[in-house]
Amino acid sequence: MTITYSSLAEQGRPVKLAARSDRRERFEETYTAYRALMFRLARNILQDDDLAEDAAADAAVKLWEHYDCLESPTGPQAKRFVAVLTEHKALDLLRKRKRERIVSLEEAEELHAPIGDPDGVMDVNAALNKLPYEQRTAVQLALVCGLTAKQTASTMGCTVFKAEKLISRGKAALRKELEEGYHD
Amino acid sequence: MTDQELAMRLTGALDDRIDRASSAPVSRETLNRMPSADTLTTPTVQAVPVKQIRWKSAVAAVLVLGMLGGIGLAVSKLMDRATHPQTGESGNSEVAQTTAHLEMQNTEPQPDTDPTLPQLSYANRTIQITGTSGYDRLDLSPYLDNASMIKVEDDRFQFSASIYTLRDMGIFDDLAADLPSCLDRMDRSIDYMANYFAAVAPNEEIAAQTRKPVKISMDRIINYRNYDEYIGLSLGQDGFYRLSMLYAYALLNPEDLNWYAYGYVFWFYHYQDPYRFRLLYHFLSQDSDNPYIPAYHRAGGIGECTSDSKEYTPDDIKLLYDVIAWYNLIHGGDWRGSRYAPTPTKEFSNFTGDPALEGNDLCLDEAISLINYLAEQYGHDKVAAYCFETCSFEEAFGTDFATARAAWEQSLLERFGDGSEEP
Repeated sequence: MTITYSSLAEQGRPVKLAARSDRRERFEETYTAYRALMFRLARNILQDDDLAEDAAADAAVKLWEHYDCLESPTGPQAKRFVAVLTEHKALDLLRKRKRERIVSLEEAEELHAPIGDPDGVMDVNAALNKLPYEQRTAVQLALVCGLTAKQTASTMGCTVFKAEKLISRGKAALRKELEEGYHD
Repeated sequence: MTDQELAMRLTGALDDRIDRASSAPVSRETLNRMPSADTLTTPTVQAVPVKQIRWKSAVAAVLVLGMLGGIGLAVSKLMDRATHPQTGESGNSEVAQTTAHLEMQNTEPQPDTDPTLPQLSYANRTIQITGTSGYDRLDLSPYLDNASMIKVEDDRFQFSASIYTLRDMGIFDDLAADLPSCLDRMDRSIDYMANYFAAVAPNEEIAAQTRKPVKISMDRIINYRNYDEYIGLSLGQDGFYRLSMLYAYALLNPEDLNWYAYGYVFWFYHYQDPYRFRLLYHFLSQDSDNPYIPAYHRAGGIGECTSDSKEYTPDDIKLLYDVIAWYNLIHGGDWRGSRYAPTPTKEFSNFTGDPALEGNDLCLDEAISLINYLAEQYGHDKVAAYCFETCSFEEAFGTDFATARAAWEQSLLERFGDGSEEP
C-alpha cells in the first residue's frame, strides 16, 4: 500500500493535510519505541536475522499505513498492535519462504522452521500456532487490539466479510482447542 | 468461553511472548539497518505494490517526487545508454537511429502522463523509468533499492522491477539494450500460456482466468496470487525462469497441493512453454553421485548436462524425465542421503494434500513424467480437467489411477528395458 495522498483518497479516506506532520511525529515515537521489539518478535518466528529485518520492516510499513488504529503512540494497545502486525508479517514471510523453497525444489525436506511460540509451553500459544496465520492475526487484532471488523479487514487487506469470517472461525477454533485442552 | 475470557487469555499470551522477546539481545547495528521513520513515511513510487498500481496514482507520485528532488542522474544515464546502447555515449544520433528495439518516444505527451517523465518504448509498450536520484549513487539498502524503477504496462501485461535488481541479476550485459527483448519474451510467454490454458480449460470459469491481466514484479519473495481482476506474479530476484511455473500455479490456484498440482505445473514449465527462460537443472550436474545422467545418455540423451538450457530440445527434456522415472522404478529410488534422492511429494514441506491419495508417493520428476504420459495418451484437455480438479481421475481418464500408473510404468520398461542389461 503506497503512502501517498492520492492512494488515501482512492480508498475513500479523508485527506487531512494539516494532520500529516503530527501523524508522522506520533508514528516516529511509536516506531522508535518498538522497532527493537519488532525485530525480536520476528526473529523468534523466523530464526534468521536477515529475514527478521525484512519482516520487521514490512510490519513497520503496515504500521504506518494503519497507524490510525492506535489509541496512543505508546502503551499496551500500541505495543500489542505492533506485535500482532509483526508476527503476522513474520508468519507470512515464513509461509512464502516455504513456497519459494518448494518452487526451487531444493532441500524441501529441511524446511521445518518453528512457527509462533518456539517453546510451545502455553496452551494459548500452542492453540494459536494451530490456526492458519490469517485467522491468528484476525482474531488477535479483534480481541486483543480491539479493532473493529472493518479496521481488521483494512489492516489485513481483505474484505470485511472475509475478516468477519476469519475472526469467527479463529475464535471457534481457539475455543475448541482451549476447552478440549491442548495435547500434542 | 466468552469473548471476554478468550480476549483475556489471548492478551496474556501475547504479553508473555512480548516479554520473552524483549529479553533477547539486539545489536545497535541491526537497529541501524532497519528503515528510519522518515524512510517509512516518505512517499515513494516503490511503495506501490503491483496489485495496487494505478496509472494516475503512480504519475501523481512521480510528480510529487519530481517536485521534491527531480528525476535524477539515473534516468539521464539510463536514457543515454538506452538511446545509444552500442557506444554508451550520448549525443550520437546515428547510433540512436540504428537502435531498432529501443528508442526515445517522441510522441506528444498523453493527457495522463507527465511530459517531463522519461519514457522508452519498444514495440507497442512503454518502459517508464522513475526515480528519485542517481542509481549509481544510491545506498543499496534493501529499503531504498526500488527508488529507481522500470515499469512496463498495458492492458494485458505489466512488469515492474528495480533497476538495481535487474542490474544485479547479472544476466544483462547492457540493461537498456537487452531488457526489451527480455520483456518481449515474457510477453510472448504469457500470450502462449494464456492461449494454451484457454484451449484446454475444462470450463468457462477457468478459461476466463486466462484473460486476466498479468502483473509481474521482481521482489524478494517468490509468490503467485490469483486476484479477481488480475494475476500477480512475483518472480524473485534471480531470474525470469519462474514465470511459467508461477503462472500455471496461479491459474490452478489449488486448495491443496497434491502430486498432480506439482507435476502439472512443472510439466507445463518444462514441456509446454517454448518461451521459458531456462530449465531447472538442479539434478543435471555431472557430479559423480548423480545417478541419472549416465542412464540418460545411455538412453540416447544428448544434453550436455550443464546449466545451459539451449542444449536441450523438448524431446531431450521428455526423455530426461522419463529416464529419471524409469531409473527410480528399476532401482526403487533408494539412495537416501544423496542430494538426488527422490523426495515423495507428500514429504514436501508445503504439501497440503492427503498423504494417502494415490500418486502422492511419486517424486516430482516422476509426477512430471506421469503427467506427460497422461497428456500424450488421453489428451491435454483431460489432464487439465483433472489437474484443475473439475472431475475425478476416473472421470477424466476413464480408468482408475492404479491402472493408469501401471500402464505408464510398463511403457517406461518397454522403452528402456528392465535394467538387466544396464552396465
